[in-house]
Amino acid sequence: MLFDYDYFNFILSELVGRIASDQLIIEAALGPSKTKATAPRLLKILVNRNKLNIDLASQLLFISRQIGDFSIRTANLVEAISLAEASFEGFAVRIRTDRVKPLVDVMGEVRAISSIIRIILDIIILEDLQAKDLSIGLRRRGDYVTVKIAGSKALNANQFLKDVVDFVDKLIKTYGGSIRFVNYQGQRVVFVRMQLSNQIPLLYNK
Amino acid sequence: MKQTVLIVEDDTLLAEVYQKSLKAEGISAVVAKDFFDALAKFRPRQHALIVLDIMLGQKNGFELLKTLRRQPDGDRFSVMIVTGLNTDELNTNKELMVGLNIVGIYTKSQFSIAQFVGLAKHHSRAK
Repeated sequence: MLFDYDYFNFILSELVGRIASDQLIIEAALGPSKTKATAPRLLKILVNRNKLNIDLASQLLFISRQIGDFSIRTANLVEAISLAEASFEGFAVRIRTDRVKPLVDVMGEVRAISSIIRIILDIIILEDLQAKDLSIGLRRRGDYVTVKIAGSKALNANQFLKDVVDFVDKLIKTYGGSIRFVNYQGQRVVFVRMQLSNQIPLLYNK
Repeated sequence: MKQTVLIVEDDTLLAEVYQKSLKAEGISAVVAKDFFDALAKFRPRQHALIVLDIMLGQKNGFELLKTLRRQPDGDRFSVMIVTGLNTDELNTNKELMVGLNIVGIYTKSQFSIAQFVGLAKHHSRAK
């Protein structure tokens, strides 16, 4: 797969601006009374948003280094989801994985898949900063498995978030997967489709 | 007519902070969240200053500058660019700024709200 460095640089550049915006608002909240335009409730949201933006940056950097390194490996998807979920421990949002059944092996590398799920969770929460309860479920069909992430509102995702989804979709195609970012009756639902690893012999012995 | 500031910023939280900070100084401001919203809300005789972010979505701030250049009252208002882009990226689009009264280009990472208020106060009453 050809890695689109221009697109990647564009996204990182935009993300740096967003992190700087967070900093500006936080500074405004802590500054002299004349510019103290941020209420404490908003400040709390801002600190969370800042954490998400920074996590998004670090995951994008991590995943960019993994490209081309994992396409013929096999990964336990449940382990990847658990890893992603654990990284949100202590965060304002609870991530439920009750509908995730064990032993689903897909094409890819555990940390890279975990990172992709983490990026999607970051995007979902960045769209709906008031999200409290997200759920992750798996559905296995034929030669693929779909990870469904839901529980937040679709609040008109901005172009930047859509760009990140497009970027991650391109990356996950390396595994033969894809991402659908849909608005279902005002709710944001993301489907991450991944090839089961039992397809590897079929794909490489054609 | 009362001079106001047009804030073109897709980050609604930041736009709100800009607006409230200016209000505390007695300056009224209107917020536009993207290119189209900005065009709809822009009034050349009313807005003395446009605070412009560059990354606005499908049609960015450069596109807006291009459109503003064609305005008959293009010299009546000032434009202050506050962006997350680095100066190299801005320099490659310098030709779009010709003919407009660009009073400053600031990167968000090296900017503060106090600085913003001071500059906006100065430029919104300059004409």
